[in-house]
Amino acid sequence: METSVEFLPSGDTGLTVQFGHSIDRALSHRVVRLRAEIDAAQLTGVLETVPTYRSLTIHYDPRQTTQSAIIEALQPLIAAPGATSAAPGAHWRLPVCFDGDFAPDLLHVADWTRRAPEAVIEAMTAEPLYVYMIGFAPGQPYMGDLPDALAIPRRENPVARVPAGSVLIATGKSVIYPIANPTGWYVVGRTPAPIFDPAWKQPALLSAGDTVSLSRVDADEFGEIETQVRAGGYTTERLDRP
Amino acid sequence: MSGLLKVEAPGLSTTLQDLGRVGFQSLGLPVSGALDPIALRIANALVGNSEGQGALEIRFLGPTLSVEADAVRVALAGTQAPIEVLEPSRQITPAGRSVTLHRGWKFRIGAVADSGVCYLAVGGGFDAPKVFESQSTYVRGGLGGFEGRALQIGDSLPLAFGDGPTGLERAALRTFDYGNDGPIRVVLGPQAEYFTEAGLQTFLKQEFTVSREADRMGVRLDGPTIEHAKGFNIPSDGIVTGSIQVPGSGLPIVLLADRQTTGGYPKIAAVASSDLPRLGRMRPGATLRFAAIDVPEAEALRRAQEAQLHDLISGIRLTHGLGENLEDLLLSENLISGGEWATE
Repeated sequence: METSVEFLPSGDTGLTVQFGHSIDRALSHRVVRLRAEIDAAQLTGVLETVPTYRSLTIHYDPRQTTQSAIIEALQPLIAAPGATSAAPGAHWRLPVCFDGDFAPDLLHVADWTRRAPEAVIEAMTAEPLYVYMIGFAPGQPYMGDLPDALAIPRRENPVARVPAGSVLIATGKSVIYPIANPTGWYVVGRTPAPIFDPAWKQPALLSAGDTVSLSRVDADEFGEIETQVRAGGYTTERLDRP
Repeated sequence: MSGLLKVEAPGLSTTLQDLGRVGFQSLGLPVSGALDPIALRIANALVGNSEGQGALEIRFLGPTLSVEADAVRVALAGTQAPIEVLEPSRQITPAGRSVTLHRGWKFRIGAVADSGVCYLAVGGGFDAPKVFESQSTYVRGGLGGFEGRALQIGDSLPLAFGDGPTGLERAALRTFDYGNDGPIRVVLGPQAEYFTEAGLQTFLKQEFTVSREADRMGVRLDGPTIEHAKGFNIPSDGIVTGSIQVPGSGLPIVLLADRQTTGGYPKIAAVASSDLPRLGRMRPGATLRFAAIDVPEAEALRRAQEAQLHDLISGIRLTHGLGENLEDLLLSENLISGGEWATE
């Protein structure tokens, strides 16, 4: 089993343990497994761990420990990873409207891929997407993998604000914005379903390892769901537990 | 019975902050918290609070507040601007010492010229609910603080203490030395290889200016562009406070308290944590340069800074308050030396 990793400093408060440079599910599982091991080890001065596609960032307090002490403590965990395997994730259906003002960048993406907008929508909704990680904003999922033909690179410069619920793509991945934020990605749709709420027992709807089926709705149905959400009567459909 | 502070004027951007929301980044929740945690901790120490208690973070122009409680002890830190009592009669309290205010008094922190941020602490703290274990405000997410947003006129800020302030006031003997002369120290990476040698040299040798696009999420810098070696996309990975991203424009962005938890632009370096308060305090137009150090040096600088802060806080002395003690009066007017008054 390949166990080589790189230890990359993020200043004096973060250590990124990098497993590789590509994005694939095997790498993702290694990240998730190491995270579980580190959390269980409860190392002095380690504040929290953040899993991403191909690396784990360990946040620490330099007044309590050092990066070199953490690296030393990690060596046995990396050399002989435990046998823990990830529990299967949940499978969700999320309604998305790909029409008009909900999808301001759909035409640009279609042009770039040299296909019709319908083909872009088909590529987004044909197969369930795998949730690699949660990051950037509360409850925000990074999902993949879209066909290579859809792998439009990020914008050179971020735009200042896109609305909450936006469904965006870039580099073959898709994200959903729980709140308005700047972005370097392209907005191809919007979901009325909330994906983060501090009042929920599990505040983030999605977790790394889940799968998501994007389900096309028109503007009218979008409005109906939005009304249900505001009234507190909407529950996102879970497909693995009917 | 406690009471509240009423917001007569909100200031430019005033939010409740503590030392941040630690442990929730894997849910995508930013840490938030004070842009200058050192000044926050000093303000709290001056009113007898635990150092990480929530306090009002004031940016550029402070609020005007009126006291709807029997008595409340307040202190300002991180600036030389004073606390000005407006009613019932004018009274000035310099920053760096506490003062007790009484029912019906109106007071303000005016223009803050010497720092982008300072902190007003209240003895006993504010009665705002903890969201994910912190009172810090994350404005973009509408979380924490007072209703997840900056203060607005007419807001009531509930106070947390039961009984009023007792005992003596407190004063710090000196102001904190942030080490403002000299470059901002950084540790290169984790994506240093995404930049050409020329790009790295530009980053380490040239002067940059804080642009108007500077907020709690980050500081965009104006200046020479930094040359990428292999594009500006990386698989999104982890970010720390102080990470310096360089997107396609070639202009660096230093990420601060409300930063996102992960990101896909390459990071050329991260600011040493000891120098983060300096970044938080910088105003648009401020100039800076960067200097590379290694991780052990950065860790040592942080520990030395913590020792300096510990000395300052343990040197805080009890006092009868302004005007009741000639030495205090002279000290506050900087006419005698009771310690170093460091200038910014």
